[in-house]
Amino acid sequence: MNPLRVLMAEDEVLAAEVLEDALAEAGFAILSAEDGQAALELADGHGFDVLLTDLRMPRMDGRELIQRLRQRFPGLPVVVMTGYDPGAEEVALHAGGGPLRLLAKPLRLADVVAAVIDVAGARFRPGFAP
Amino acid sequence: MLASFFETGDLAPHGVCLLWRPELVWLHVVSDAATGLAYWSIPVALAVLVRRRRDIAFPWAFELFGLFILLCGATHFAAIWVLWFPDYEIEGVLKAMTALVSVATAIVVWPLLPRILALPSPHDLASANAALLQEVEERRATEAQLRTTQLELVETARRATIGTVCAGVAHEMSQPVNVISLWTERARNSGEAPPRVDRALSVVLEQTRRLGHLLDRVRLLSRQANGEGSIFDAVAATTAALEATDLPADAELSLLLPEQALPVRGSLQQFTEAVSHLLANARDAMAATAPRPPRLAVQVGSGPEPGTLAIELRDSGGGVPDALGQRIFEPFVTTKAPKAGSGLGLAIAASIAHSMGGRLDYRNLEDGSGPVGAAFRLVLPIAGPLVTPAP
Repeated sequence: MNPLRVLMAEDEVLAAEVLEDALAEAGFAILSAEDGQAALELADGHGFDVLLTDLRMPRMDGRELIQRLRQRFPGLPVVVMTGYDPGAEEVALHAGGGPLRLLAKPLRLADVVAAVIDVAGARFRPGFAP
Repeated sequence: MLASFFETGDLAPHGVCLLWRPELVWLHVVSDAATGLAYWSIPVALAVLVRRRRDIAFPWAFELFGLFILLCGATHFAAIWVLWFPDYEIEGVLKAMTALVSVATAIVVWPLLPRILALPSPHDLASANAALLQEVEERRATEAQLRTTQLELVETARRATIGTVCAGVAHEMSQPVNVISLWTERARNSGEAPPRVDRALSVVLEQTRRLGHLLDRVRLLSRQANGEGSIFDAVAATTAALEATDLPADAELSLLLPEQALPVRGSLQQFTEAVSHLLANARDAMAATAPRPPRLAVQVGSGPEPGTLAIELRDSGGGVPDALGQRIFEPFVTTKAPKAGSGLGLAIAASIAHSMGGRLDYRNLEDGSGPVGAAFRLVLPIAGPLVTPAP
């Protein structure tokens, strides 16, 4: 069985480093980008199953990244890590359709892993290439 | 000639005609005296009236009446005098003067009559006064309402500032706390730390959790400080306001709404109030003027600038008079009949638009012959990029 592929957008390099490490240890394949724009470019050439993203990032924020990726991959599972609570209704209003989980910082590694598995849910199957 | 006129030596006093019968003489004396005294008391009353009531209309007419009655009285005293003294010339001159003044008064009273009738009666004045008092009361109430609205808007802005500061602090602090928490948890999960180090890591983790809860509370404060301010769908809110407004039964309503939601930030309650004021304004404008049936078009869509949306209401209410222009957005400026409108609706709608970072404008709709209606447009910033819903 292929590992669950996670596209991660996080501009805080120290947070990204430890998340990559922990998610890889949990058995996921990680594609890591330093902001929304980089994640969008990375999404072009690689398959992935779940988007794990920060909201406030330079160049392109998480909200726009979710919107653009969901236009291309309707129903894409998303986990949002945010340092500020914009309200679930706001993100949901912008996010289009699909499973979505909000995690407030500071994060617990176990919560991140559980949220990724949770949103991937039924959509995750070996070889799913959005 | 004049001397011989006043020469009365050969005339008999009037009492002679009465044969000096005491009952007849006294009947005349008492009657003339009573009438004369009564007549003379009336000009005194009129004089007091004119002197005390400086605002009295036509004071000269009162003076003329006074003189007329004074002379009438004098003729009655002269009638008593001539009972014993035959000075009929003096009595005659008095009568002639009375005649002159009486005729003058009688002539003057007719042209004066319509002018006196045109004077407002005390009842008219009282009801006009009551109407004025009521209007003052209404203005006072609407002014109080306007002040409350302004205070609410200032308060909303103040709380929004606090909310923004709190949100910023929470965001900035959550980043380093997040990094500390993640690294400590990772180090602890490795299971390589000796017991003392593991204890230290666990303490650091607990403290970052405490900081996390503290940040949650600051975020909550930020949301509370923003009041009811939230993100909501302007399309759904406009539709709801439309459904809550009573439009004329024969009104032709056309709706043009986008398929996707248009998110705006602010108070849903205030937004609804602004749209309701615009709807009521259009309804009242159409109630006041022909032609039938009234036509109202409501359109929600992209605004004139990128990142804005516009809610436009086009009515068939004849448009805004050129003389009013932009003043219609000022408080108390209204084209409605007294008591039909406070003149505050558009001012409140404009304040709300402003508080949401937008504006309210209008243009008249022309059909070649002149204005047939007005288009009021609420332009608001869209809260974030638009989303096309997934199919």
